[in-house]
Amino acid sequence: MTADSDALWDDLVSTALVGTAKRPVPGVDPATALGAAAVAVAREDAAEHLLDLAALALVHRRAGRRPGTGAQAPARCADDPRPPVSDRARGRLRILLGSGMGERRTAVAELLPEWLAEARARGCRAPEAELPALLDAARTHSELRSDVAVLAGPRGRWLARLNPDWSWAARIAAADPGGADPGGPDIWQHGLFGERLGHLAGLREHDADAARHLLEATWRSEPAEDRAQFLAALRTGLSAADEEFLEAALDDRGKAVRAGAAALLSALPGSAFAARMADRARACLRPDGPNAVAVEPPEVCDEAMRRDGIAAQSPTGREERAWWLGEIVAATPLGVWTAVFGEPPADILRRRLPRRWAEDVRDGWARAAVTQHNAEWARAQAGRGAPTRLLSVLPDDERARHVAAHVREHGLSEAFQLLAGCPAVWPRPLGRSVVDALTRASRESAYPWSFSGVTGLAARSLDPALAAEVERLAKTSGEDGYWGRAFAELAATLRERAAMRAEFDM
Amino acid sequence: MLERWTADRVLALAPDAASQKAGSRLAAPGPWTGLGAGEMPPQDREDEGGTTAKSGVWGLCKGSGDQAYRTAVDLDGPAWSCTCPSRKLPCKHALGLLLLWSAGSVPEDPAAVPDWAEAWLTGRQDQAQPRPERRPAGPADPAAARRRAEQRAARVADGVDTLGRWLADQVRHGMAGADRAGYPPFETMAAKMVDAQAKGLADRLRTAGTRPGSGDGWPERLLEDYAVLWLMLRAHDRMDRLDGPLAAALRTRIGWHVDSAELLQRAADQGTAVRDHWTVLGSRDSDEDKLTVREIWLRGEQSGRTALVRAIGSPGQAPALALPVGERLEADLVFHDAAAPLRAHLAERHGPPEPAGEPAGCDAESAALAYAEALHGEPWLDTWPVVLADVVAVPDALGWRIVGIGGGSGSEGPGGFWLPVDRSRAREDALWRLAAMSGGAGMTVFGEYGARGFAPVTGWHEGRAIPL
Repeated sequence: MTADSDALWDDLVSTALVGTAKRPVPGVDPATALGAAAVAVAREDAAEHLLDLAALALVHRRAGRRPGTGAQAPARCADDPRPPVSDRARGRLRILLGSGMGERRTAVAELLPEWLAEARARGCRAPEAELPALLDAARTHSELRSDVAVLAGPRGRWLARLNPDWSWAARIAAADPGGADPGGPDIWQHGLFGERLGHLAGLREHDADAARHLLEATWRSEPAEDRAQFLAALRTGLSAADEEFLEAALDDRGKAVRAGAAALLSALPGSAFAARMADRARACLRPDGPNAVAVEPPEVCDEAMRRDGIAAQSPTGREERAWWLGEIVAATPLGVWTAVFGEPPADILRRRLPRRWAEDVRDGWARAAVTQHNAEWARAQAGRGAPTRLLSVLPDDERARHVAAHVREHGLSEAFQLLAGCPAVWPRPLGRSVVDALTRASRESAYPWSFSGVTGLAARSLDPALAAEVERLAKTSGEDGYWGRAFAELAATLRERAAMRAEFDM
Repeated sequence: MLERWTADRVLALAPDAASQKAGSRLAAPGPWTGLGAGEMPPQDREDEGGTTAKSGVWGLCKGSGDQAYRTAVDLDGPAWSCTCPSRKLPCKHALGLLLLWSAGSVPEDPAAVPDWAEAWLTGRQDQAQPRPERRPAGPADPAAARRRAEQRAARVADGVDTLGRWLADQVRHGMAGADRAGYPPFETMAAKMVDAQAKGLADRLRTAGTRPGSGDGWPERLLEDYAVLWLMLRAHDRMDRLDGPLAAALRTRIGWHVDSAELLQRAADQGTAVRDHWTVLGSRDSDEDKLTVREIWLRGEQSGRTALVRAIGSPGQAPALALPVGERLEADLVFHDAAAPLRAHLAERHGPPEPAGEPAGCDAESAALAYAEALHGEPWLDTWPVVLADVVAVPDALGWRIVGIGGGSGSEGPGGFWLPVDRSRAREDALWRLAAMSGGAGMTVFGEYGARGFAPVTGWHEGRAIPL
């Protein structure tokens, strides 16, 4: 019906583009309705005539446009039997996401993580309309992903498949029970990289061997950078059964693949890799009397060492022998040391180390404790000025106790990293020690801005029940001073968090 | 008992997202004292035979200084009063107070109303009373008014003439030149139209000026704007031969203001106001010259008519009119004269908004037909509001589409009707929200359909209206 006007319209556009001074205005068949109308408004001037025709054709086209046909309706997402959150909680989420008024989303609201954790703990599903904003937020803030993926449920996975930006959600989808990826082996054969990685990671959760077999089947045809990422997905459910595959990957063409394989093997204490590292380690460290360690780093980085993932040169320019030593200690199963020294970790750590190598050895032990998730070694090293990442190996409660002790003893000046590594809502003793330390700092009139990082963390992590106490602090510190205002601000956030939690029950 | 508002309804009053955030931060009991709410009894007045009851909420909010701010809200307006220095309306204190009240954290006790709150609320009562019969005496000097109107008409006619010659020159020398010359010539011509008191033509020219830089297919979009302008110019030439409603619609489109007082008076005299239960289909704010323009679409239950009510907010202030999307209210609406009547004024309300069901929607074919019929009335219309039933928003390789789910299910048959999405009016995040709500199942969606496709404004999900 609009074919006439479509052709005419295209002619008019190209004529108007060049100009009626250079090209004649297209004619219209007067037998058509459009042509008859055109005759009625015919004008002398070519440019005016073109505009007349354009106006006619435009309205003709607009009025005659019909919907397209033959669109495929998308597959429906699976039902989510979980209850929705309350209206109040939904409204709060919308504000936290800043999505109500067309505002650009930049920073994540500081209370968003707590809202998510609360909704998850209550077994609710996320409000459907907010899923896109949630998936976006978790895309750039990966610490939110676990909560968002669970809250989003089957609808979130359904949605994530429509938008490549959200492939992370498809990837961790299978971590959610009942969220088995319906794509199946088809996805592995034909999917995009993100989908394939997601499928592999998901399968690995349920059936580690099947996931490895899947990867082995196509391993040789994968590009090197993809191989490295697929390999890294094997950290989930890692076991001795993976050793043979990983051992072979040590000879891979890709450097990142080799390094990744070595890192995974170092977390398998019973592997041949571990045995080779243990041999090297035993040559490096041995008891020197009851109170010291004798250290003898390797003289060269031979081919076998390089195959096991030890780079010939330190990326940061550390002296070669010290670097090799540190790498060996970090990749050696920690059980080797209790056997070599015949004593528990705490006693080994108490031994003196030659100053030249001490830092490398201690750093290696700390890294080993983290990669091997060895709480006993982490515990023995924690609080000795050891890196804070060691605490990540410890159970939450224990970690919080360590940090609380640190804060009581040393105050808050070095505590930011430690506090940031603690669980979202600080247990009572930890909150107590932070509030006390802030009180001390305010009484000593310390420079307040050096504590702004900690007060920010405290606003998110303190138990809201402490609000009244912090309000009293605000009053006693003088409401106009910086500390007074900082405490008042802190108290307001705690009150807001308490209100936010209560909204879930409204 | 006062009927409490939902938090959504409170938040919709906020002038911006920052106010929403600040307001919800104050929605905790901490900083508040002296909270109360209640219905003020009608006051007996001998002269006007008494006033109606008024409902309000009040409280003292601790600010940064020593003194607490006095915050009060008149729920019937709604209207706000706060002693804080903020220029935003409503301020965060008023929003926080309303949120607290909507959460049930404010005791209802009209007897305990403090003097300052009572004084303000009853002062409002007087204002809310209909003024004594105000018979407009008409313009002070009818002859001068007629002269002014003639002068304006002449100025517009000159503007129309100038623009007509300019448009013809554009296509005579080729639109390719517009690409090279850029925006300035459009702005120059738009300024001339503003001088000629033809703001509608100026706005369209400014839009046209953005086309040459708008990527592939720009000549077609530019010619569309020229064609619409030309259509209005030629219609203006024959203004005296057009039907009254069409001429009126054209005048508004070109830039004549509708005098709302006169409009309401005329409706009162002729009884043309439409009383109905109006469902609030959607509300959308946009920025226009630093002002916030709020468009609210309504549909009458009995009349079946769709109306568009506009409200303007000065910088930093929410437009005074806010209606809860998805609810309905009984009210008198006065439509502007038009060949395809849509714009209207909210005259008198008969009661507060109340919950309403999902509006009935149509399919894609009927939406296209509705737009075609509107074009039959006013050929320069770009869009027409429609409620679609049983549709989903689908992203695919060719862009977003609104696909009908109803009718034949499965992959057999002709497949669903679909409408393209007007990306110049539909934000990406709104489309994703729509897709997320549907989950692939058909839903009711309100939006505007027109020359460039459909632009969603509101979606209904699990019986609730969700603004997009």
